[in-house]
Amino acid sequence: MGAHKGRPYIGTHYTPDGREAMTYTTDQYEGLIAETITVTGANGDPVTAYFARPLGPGPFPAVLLIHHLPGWDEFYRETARRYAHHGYLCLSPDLYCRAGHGAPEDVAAKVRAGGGVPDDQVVGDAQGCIDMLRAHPAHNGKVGVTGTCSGGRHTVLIASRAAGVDAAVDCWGGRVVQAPGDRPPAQPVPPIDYTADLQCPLLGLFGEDDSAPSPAQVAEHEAALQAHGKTYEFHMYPGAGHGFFYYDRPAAYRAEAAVDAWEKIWEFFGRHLGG
Amino acid sequence: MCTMIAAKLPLSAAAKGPAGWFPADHAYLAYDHPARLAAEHALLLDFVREADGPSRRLAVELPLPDAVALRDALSRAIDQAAAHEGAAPGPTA
Repeated sequence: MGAHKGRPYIGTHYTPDGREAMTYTTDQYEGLIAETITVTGANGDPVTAYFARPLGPGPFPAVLLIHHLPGWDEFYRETARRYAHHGYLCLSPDLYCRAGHGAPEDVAAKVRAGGGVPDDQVVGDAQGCIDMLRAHPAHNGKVGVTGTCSGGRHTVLIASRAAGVDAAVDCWGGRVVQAPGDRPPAQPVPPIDYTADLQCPLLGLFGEDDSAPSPAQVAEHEAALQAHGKTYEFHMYPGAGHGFFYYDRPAAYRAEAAVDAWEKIWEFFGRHLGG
Repeated sequence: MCTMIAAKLPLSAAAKGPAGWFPADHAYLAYDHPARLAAEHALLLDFVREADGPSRRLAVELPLPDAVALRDALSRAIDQAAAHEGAAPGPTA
């Protein structure tokens, strides 16, 4: 295992050029630590975050994980631990923490009634997280960002407006394309308008039956990426709608699409983050 | 905010949650992703007392057809109540 610099190879991993490197064997050591921490976010505000990372000195690539509209819930803790299990430092900030604390869906209800979190604040919070990850002694110098639902929209925004992002995975982000009349004060600029500033390769995972984003909106985003010469991969899953990763939501979960999409994430982040 | 369909209105109401009765000073209305209902979107209706923090909330997630039926029933009941009172009701808050 010495050739792998202490990194826990769990599941299937990939070399930087995308080739399968190694699969888990039952005799290898694994361990991780996961805990709630505080990160300095936009305007110097303290932002609650969940940080999961493999044990050991690394170097490990990092992933910034952005939660969905229904809040900073258990799915994100589990997903953060999954990234750590696959060898990533994973930081998931609570973008709603300024609204107070309580059950995630209660906090989300308050944020929703207030028009959602401001895009500028999200970018500031993300920058604080990226800076924290880049300063971590076990970090390998590469940072990816990903999120689902509104977190997918935020992923595109962060990959365009924050500094220091090496790869991004948008999981069915709604309102990357915003309708002409949809310019609320908190989200005044559609993320698609920042396409020229997208700084890294983008992987997009979508469901054909989704209404936000609709296949037409995904196609519009894809056309903008092509027009600006950006590196991207979009995958549209038939028979899947919004939230097809959510195993805790039987009506949304699509096992076949989720398994395939996760494999694409491991390959993509492995290739671009030097895992 | 995946749909941007959301509204907030002041109330002078009383609501009952797991911790008992509380004065509800706002209603939140939205059509967006529900937390529990098995649907991509739902009509989300909350009664809250904002000063007590996010947890002081009475929440209902309605499928759209149920929301339409509730709206119609509310409208009928309000009309009947107004007739009973002999005047058109106005907002209290």
